[in-house]
Amino acid sequence: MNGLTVQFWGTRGSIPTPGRHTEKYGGNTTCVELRHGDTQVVLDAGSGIRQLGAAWMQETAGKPIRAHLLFTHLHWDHIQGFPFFAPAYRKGNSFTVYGEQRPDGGIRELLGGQMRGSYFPVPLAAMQAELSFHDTAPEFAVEGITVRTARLPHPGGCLGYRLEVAGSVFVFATDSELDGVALNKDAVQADHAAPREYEPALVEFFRGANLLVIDCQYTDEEYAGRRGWGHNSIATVVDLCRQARPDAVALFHHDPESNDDKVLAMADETARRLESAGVTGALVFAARERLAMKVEKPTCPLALPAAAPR
Amino acid sequence: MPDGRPDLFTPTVSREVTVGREATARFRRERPTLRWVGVLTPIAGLARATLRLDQDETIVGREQDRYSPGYDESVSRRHARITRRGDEFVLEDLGSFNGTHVEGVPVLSCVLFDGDTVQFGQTLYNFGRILEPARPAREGQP
Repeated sequence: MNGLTVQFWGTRGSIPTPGRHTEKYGGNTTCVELRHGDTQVVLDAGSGIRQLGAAWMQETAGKPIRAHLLFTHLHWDHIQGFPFFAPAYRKGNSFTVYGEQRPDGGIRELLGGQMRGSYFPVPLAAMQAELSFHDTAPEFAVEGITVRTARLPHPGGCLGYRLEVAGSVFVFATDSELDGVALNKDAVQADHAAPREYEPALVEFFRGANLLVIDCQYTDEEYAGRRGWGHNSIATVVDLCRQARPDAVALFHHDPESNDDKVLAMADETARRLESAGVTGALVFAARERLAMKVEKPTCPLALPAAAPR
Repeated sequence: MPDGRPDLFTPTVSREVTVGREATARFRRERPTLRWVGVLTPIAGLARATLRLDQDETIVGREQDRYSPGYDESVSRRHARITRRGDEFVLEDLGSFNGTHVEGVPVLSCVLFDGDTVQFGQTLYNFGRILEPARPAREGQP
């Protein structure tokens, strides 16, 4: 069986950002779909999961849907689409939901909380699909896919996920401010261009991914005024990639203030700086809503010869 | 509890509103039907022909009469499908040997936006959309 495929359904950070200036990279908040054969995994249920649900309902045409939902954390932009996830309301479907136990409750209580009382007119209990909720273990398996998790630095915490199967390695690290756990963070704070030093286990978590999807919400200039907000800048992403050497990097959790031109410019800048740092051959791009691709070492486009004379 | 606020859940429709709606409906009937057409313009590489995507579904490939990027062995026979849904054009790779790249990214599928570069085989295209009447306009009509 082939490796994983990925499709982005929500790439925006913080709040849905519809409009013409964000339509290319997308205005929906975090939702990423992974497939391996018949196994379906969803990372987070931001507003993008509404469209994913609609696509699944159309694709399955009434046949049962079975999937696994992995939550990184429960900030609003990662759960707000869950009440609009149509397949969860259909009897016969089944979803296994993983999330981290929090001081204020488990994943079931917290997901249900946003559907209670004045927040939403339909309670969690109205979801007719079979829902089973699990605390996320450090390492577990989802139908043959090995899943490893890591705690990422973000206000309130966030889980990173590393999924591996059939030689395909996917790492998902949304909502993280890795400068906060650099061993030399004082030096990095004094000089944002300083090389970061991380615990080996952290670099190992990221190492050798075919596709690394990573929070890159800010330019370096923006980050200077947003330290502690829990998101990376370009310099941090470049430095991590220099150490972890992914085959491809998708910049993710685009800032609500970033229009399509700016998101593209940030990806170009990241690619340029990564090459300057001696990392050649890595594909760098901005995650784009509804784009689907294989999780493998990306194929280069063929060289373009000059057109034959007319 | 009645508190003096108007009840807007059961509005009454005045004659003026009805007349206005009829006028609007008449105006809409008289508008020409428009459709979006996608255009893939070669900007580098082997092919020279522009691919006009004026059907709801288009297969691009080496053996597709109207949608062939010319004589290019690196393009698969059935290379990609482009589906039009209103103003949206969705590209899907059909398991082509050399892949389909949008903005340099190898994709299985992707919604195309104006200005995207799309590469099939050894030709790079620029994608754009135009809006045009669904039927040729008759003389004396808009």
